[in-house]
Amino acid sequence: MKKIIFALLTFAATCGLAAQNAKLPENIALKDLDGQSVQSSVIQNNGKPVILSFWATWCKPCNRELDAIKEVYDEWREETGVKLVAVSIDDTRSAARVRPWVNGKDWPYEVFLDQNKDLARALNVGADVPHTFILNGEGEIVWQHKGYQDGGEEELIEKVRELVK
Amino acid sequence: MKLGKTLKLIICTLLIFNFQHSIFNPTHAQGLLGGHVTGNVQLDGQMSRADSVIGAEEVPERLLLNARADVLYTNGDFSAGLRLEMYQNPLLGFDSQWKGQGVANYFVKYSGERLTVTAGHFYEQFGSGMILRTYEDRYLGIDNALFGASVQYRPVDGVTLKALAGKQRHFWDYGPGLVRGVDAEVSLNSVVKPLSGSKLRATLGAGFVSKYEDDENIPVPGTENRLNLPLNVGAASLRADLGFGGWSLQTEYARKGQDPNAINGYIYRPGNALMLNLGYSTRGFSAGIQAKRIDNMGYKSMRSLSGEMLYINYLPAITKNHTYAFLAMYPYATQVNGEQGVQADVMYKFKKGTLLGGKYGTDLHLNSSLVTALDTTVIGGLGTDGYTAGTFSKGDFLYGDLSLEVAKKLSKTVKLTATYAYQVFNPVVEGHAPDLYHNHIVVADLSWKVSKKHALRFEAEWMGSDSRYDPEHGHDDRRAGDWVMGLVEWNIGTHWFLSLSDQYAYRDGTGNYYNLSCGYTRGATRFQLGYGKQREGLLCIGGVCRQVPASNGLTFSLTTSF
Amino acid sequence: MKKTISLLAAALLTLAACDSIETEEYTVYDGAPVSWSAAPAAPEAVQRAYVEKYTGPKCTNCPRADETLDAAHHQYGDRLVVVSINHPSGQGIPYPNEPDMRTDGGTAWDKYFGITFLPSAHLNRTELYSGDISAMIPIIGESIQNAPSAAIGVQATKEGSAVSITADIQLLQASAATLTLTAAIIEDSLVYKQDHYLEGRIDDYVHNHMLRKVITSHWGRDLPGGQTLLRGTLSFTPDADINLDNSHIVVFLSEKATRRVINCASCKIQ
Repeated sequence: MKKIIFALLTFAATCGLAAQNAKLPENIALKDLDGQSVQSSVIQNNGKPVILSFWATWCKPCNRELDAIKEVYDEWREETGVKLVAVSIDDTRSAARVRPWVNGKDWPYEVFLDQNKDLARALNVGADVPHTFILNGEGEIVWQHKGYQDGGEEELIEKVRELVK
Repeated sequence: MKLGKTLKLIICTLLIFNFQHSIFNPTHAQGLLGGHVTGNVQLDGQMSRADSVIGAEEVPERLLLNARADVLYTNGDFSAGLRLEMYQNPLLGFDSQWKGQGVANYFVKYSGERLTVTAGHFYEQFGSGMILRTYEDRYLGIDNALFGASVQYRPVDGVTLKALAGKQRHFWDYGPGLVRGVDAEVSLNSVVKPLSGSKLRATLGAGFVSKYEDDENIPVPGTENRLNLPLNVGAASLRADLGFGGWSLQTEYARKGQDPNAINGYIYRPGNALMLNLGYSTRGFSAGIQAKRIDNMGYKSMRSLSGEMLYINYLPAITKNHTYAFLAMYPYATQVNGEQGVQADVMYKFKKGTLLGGKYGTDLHLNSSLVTALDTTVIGGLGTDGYTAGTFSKGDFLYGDLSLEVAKKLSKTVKLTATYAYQVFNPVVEGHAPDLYHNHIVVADLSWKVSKKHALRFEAEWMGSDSRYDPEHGHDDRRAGDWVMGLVEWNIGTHWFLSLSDQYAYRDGTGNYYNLSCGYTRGATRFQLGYGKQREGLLCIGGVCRQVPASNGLTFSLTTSF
Repeated sequence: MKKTISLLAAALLTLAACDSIETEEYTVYDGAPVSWSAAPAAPEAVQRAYVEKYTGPKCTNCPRADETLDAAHHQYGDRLVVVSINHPSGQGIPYPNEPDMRTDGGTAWDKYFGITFLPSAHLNRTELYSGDISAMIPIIGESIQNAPSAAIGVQATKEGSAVSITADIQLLQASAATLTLTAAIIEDSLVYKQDHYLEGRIDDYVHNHMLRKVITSHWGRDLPGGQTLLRGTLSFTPDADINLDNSHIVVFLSEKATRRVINCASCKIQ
């Protein structure tokens, strides 16, 4: 039994099958910055693509990525209509800092908290952030990326452009 | 356990059916039964050689490997998942009880619009986690998932009710305690009509957790008595999350019933904890103050267990989670038996075009925290109420720090972050003899985007400390002394990176820790290879710490999501 | 609605699940385990009286109580069983370099029954007499006239350094109450200082019936249900400073809920 599962896993991992049009789950509880409970179905953009970025206040590359996108966000919105939703996985230790953080950074994004990592787990975000997804207008996951290196936002917008072409 | 087997079988069948189908129909990712299979795989390996200077020991099996794979099947509101784990043998610093392999986690879940039901392993948190939080941290080697059933119900918008029962994972087994809990959370803005659309935002919550554990014989030394143990240990909490304009206030108060256990030395004093967070923020400015007091709140599903496993609740450190190497060298670890502390945090952005803002603006970040023990009067040890504690009077000093970070974009391509920090650290928080180390730390972090394809990052750190490495006189802390560190990181395109770093104790210390690592990322796949020396010490994530031994050699890591 | 109600019900059930333990019960004593079997013969069906006498070396009036109970012993013979308990504090504290007769079991009983005055004597754990206890004597006489609701007999033998105890029990009246069996060892002819109401301090006062140890747990072991004729056996190793030749084993049956003693017996160690 275990061998079968292992074989299947290896196969799936190497072929990268099956993930292409997995949808964003709709009924996972998140919190908005006001502390109100919302369902994950609020992550949508009226038929336009969404960049879904998992981040944390203590994660330097996450902050670099979100800072970098901020510089070009207005242009991106105008060009493709894309919206960025940033989901924080900060736990109790730093969760209370998320709202001041976002305000202090003056980020123009929609931000939600996933303290229990329910959404992160449903999307197979491992232990490491940043982990960024692109959702198409139907809420299907069409691309994902781990980590951030300077200039990584260029690749991101290229993928979004392909979607809205 | 019969139920567990049936569950596993169902999940496997589902997964197998769908994999087969997607293999034969690669253009249609949906399986035979519909739905999707996704997952992630992580592999961490280590080869370490002995090194007496840094205290690294020989690893007889040469190659150590931690591997895991999560597979998740989703079909509409229904999902099922399982996780395989393998530790052959566990990486250095992981408890040897991890050794083994198998299906570590499996569940089936229905998540409808109003009702969510989970059977199998699950992770849950009530409020801030003061009375219940099960979570997993693969780097710390902690997984206290509950195995049982959980129900979440939202009768109307703004009201969430939760109920759960189960036993916690303990390595490849389960802890002896049965954990049961209920929680309710109400958003007043949704429920109370006149408040909807109000500037005042209020969410109230309450939770209760009870642990049942069989009786056991814990003798009272010097007598023929044993402890009369409470078999059911309860913990309850009340919480509120309030906001008004840019202001926010979060608070939670928890109490725990009599719970003599290995952490508190088997005393009968009830526990309590209070957390308070006050914040104000507006565009470009934020300030927050956090206060916390913990008194005898170690709550586990195995009373005789010390260490970091099988905690039912979660009490993170009140101090900032520092990320620079030297700032994190002396991390503070929560004292679940008793501590009180405050933390203040201020962020300010000098606007572009102002005197201090310059052409691109300047970010200022100030953080300070202070933690002391409780002021306690001892009554007795095992089998007594233990101690009494003054409400707000201070006990021994445990930790204090102050850090100032200035981040400034110097040109279109160059950004400098400079940090100064002062720390006072009492090694008693790590279970050593009380002392005070005073550390000054300076960090300069410069990133330079050389061209569209290449970026460089330089980091220089210095730490001056009055701690000394002198094992002959009992000072065997390898972090001691004054340190310098340099790091160069080279990002090539968005896929490759190469980094080289060295930490060196140049005065009154020991060790030279060099490290070379490179990595490749493509989409959701990342591979990293490192060679060098790792200092022994505490690895802390979210205030939970694990002792990591020194190592000297090769590490590699592969992660992917699909 | 149904779901809300069931979740609320779950909440209430969970709320009920929190134990609270009183300070004096933080620690318990299990004592020697009792093994049960069927008794080969019924013990003699007589009602005996059980008296716990609380005393202390610095209690000047305690020798008066000793005299009263000695007289009662002459009158009632083995139908009266007396256990002398050294009070844990105040007048119970021993003189320097004198034997300490305080025991964990005696202290637990003393605290439970709230003994604050010496001397005190507790008949069958139902009637407490303090100071002048002579009024108790006729009551003892009356109580042993009653037909017993349960009979008990005891034998004790030395086996090496251990002492083996056999208690035969017959339940004569049906009762719903859970009964417990308690066994203790008492020692006679202990000579140490005692304050006296007439003679000041007597250096070589002879103390009898002194409780040395509760052998079972302090509140006894539950009798198994469903049997009316049964034998409980247990064994223990007494501390070396106990002179077994001067000692008796005392056993008694009591109601678990009320702690009322319903019958008792004592014997020498053979």
